[in-house]
Amino acid sequence: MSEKSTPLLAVLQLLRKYNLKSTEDILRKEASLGDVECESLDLPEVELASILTAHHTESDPFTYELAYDGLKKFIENSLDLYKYELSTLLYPVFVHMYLLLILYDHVEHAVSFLEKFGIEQEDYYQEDLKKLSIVKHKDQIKGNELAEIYSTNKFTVQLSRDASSQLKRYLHEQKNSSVIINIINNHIQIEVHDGPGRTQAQVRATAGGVLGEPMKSENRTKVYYGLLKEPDIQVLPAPVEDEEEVEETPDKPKKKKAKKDNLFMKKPKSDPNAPPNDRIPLPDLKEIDKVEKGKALREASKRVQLGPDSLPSICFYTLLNSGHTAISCDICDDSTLLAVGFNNSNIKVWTLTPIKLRGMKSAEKLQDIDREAGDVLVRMMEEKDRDTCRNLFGHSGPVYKVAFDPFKTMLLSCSEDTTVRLWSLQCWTCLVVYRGHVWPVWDVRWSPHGHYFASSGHDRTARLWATDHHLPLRIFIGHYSDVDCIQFHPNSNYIATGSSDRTVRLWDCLTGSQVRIMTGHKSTIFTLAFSVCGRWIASGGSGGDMMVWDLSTGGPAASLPPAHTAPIHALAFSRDGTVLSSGSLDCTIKLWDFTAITDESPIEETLNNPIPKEDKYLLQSFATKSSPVKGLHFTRRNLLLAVGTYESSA
Amino acid sequence: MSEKDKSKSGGQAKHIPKDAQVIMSIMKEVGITDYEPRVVNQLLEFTYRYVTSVLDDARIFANHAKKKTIDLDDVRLSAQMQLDKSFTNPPPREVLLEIARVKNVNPLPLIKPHCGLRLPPDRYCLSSCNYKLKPATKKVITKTTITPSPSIKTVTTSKAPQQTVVMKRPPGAIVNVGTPKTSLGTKPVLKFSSSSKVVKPAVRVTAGPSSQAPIKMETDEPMSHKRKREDDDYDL
Repeated sequence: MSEKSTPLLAVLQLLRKYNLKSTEDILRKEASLGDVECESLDLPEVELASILTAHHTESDPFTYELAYDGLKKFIENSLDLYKYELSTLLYPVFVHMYLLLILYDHVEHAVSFLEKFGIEQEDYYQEDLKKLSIVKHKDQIKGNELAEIYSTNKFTVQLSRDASSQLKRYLHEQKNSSVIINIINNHIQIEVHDGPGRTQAQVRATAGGVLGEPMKSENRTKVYYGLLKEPDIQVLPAPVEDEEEVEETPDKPKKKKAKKDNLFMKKPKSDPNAPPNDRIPLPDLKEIDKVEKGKALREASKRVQLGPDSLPSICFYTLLNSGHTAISCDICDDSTLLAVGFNNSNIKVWTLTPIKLRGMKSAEKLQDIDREAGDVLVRMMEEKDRDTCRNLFGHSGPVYKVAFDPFKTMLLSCSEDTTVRLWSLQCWTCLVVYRGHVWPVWDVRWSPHGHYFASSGHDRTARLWATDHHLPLRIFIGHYSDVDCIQFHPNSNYIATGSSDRTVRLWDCLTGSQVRIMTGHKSTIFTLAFSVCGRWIASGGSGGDMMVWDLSTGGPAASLPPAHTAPIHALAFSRDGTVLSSGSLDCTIKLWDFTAITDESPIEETLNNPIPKEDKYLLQSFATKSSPVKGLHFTRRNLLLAVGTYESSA
Repeated sequence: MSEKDKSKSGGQAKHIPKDAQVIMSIMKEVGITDYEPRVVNQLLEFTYRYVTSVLDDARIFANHAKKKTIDLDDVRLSAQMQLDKSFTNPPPREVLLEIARVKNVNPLPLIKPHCGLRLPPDRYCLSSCNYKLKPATKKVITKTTITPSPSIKTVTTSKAPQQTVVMKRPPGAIVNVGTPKTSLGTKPVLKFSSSSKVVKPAVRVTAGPSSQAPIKMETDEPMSHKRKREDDDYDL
């Protein structure tokens, strides 16, 4: 390419921006730069600014290495109190030095710089560095996704007040080489917090996001993480039904009633953190749904209380002959149906109870049934058309996620063919195709109250849909890379997303804005789960790391030891929220003591006693015989169901 | 070309041509260490095909600009065209943020009290009437009614989920077609037996809303040929 100097081209771009045509021509003539079209830099504003502000120093490649080395040595020699925080500065400085060297056409220096200092960077940045190392020319910066992210956005670094003053002092001494100062001014956002310098563990807990840690302002919005008031419980004739049941089982009537009373007593207390019921429009419960809810509550009262002493039993459903074809699975809320999505675009729905799946009667027969009958919903179904397994055809690409709606009437599926399909579980056909994502859709979930669902895909967006609108209602933009997983908050007001940019973000359904951003994962996040009370969220990543976040602050709840050795694809909370189960592709299921994890007592220094911590949280680990765990589900009575595929040979 | 390279690098034990060595070094640089040996061949083929198509396009662009030789710009343009054709990137963040800003301002729509499934308007659902080819019956086909059928086939592109085209015929004439084997779920078949209208089936079928299964149409192609042959039989 041309050997014209980058600063001159930057000036030209600036002139073009301000439409100073004649000045541009004169400059071209004098600098003998040639035609307008061929020599042009197409850089984002920030890069332009950095080039123009300091071109006289940046042109000398040797200063970069010296400056970086100097910074590294300064950080290593500083006090432990500041060392770990300051070391988070090294990575962004390194990346931007590399990009600047490329911009100024010092490619060999850039390559040797990368080789020398690249290996010293943190392990979770090595993947990103590999992607960056492909950029060998300034034209390639625009094409490379990661380079673009770094050049257009500022990397955030959090420092304590003392650490930042130390850094300022050091930089002031480096008057001759202003490289680092310029990089910090243009590309790095240093946030100063009042507090002691953080320890290595604390720094490591929140490090890993593609653009550093979140700023304090990003996590300041009030999040209504409480659960919604359930108004219908008081209206429900459930107490009457229960009284009838009580008469039937006279052995323990009082116990049942007391339990029911407890449940009723809890709700009327207003939770200051709960959103008002009408914050977002939610569907009213129909009569059948209320009956279902009553049934669910009665099941819940028979629930096994779980804890460190009483671990759940696990029932594992193994899918045979589907090791490389079954992708995702879901079990409906009352644990009677299992749906599996395959990579040949089929979806199969199985019944997990002896009750077979029935299809609906044909149109002619439906006209003859008595619509006023009490069991009209049963009469609607065709007796002869029953099967234990049903196939759903329609997608034209691997089905990445399937999801049952809370009322067991519909199934959603998302696929690589960029569509989300709604299927009826009564007619066993596809009802609607939702088009909006133009790229593969990675995840789709129902809201706990039905009617709304959310999808997330490769186009870096997450969308909120309602079943009766063919276009999304909300689009959540903010992630820098594919959004791999999405989950609704139990009160349906918030949506959490996890992405390949290693951040978990919480979005408000009402406004569509981001309310929380949580960094700390060291790899792509594949699964999310909200705690039953709604205050915490657990996330599992592709490196086997699992993290639990507190939504009120946006910070990690506790530092968990490395959970699995392979990507975690399933997380489930027990129905009472005391046990967290995680299933991963390393063929194990692990149970964690969630009450201990979220215990609000101060976190001790892990340096002193690392081992007891691990024992404290991990309750039990169950290994399967080469069956990666693809799905986990707690039944209403706290039995853990797991689904996996049997992989016969390695 | 590989032979020439082989002779050049004759001293090597494995006689790997230079191009293949380049591919292998690229793979090493990107970090791929574990691959089957045939992968190198396939990548070489792909590289050759890609480069020739880029250069072909560049030649066309150079000719269009009335230039004698291919210029750097031609090659750049043709590479860009190839890129746009095969890989599109998701829209840039600013565009997305702007879209979100516009979209998220609308309040969430209220939920109408409604029994049954809440679905979008009918034209966005797959809830329209189903079509199916009637099974073959031994009736005479008039030649005039056959000619529209191939055009119907071509016109109705990708418009049939688990459905097959029904041919509406003027009274008395029933099309002699076989039902294509459908592996899709059973769906109630609604046969159109109203014969008062002499409507062209093509119009009817294309009006079918938001339905797909392009595969279905391909299986119908042999049907039309089959029908034609049968017509010939009758004509003879």
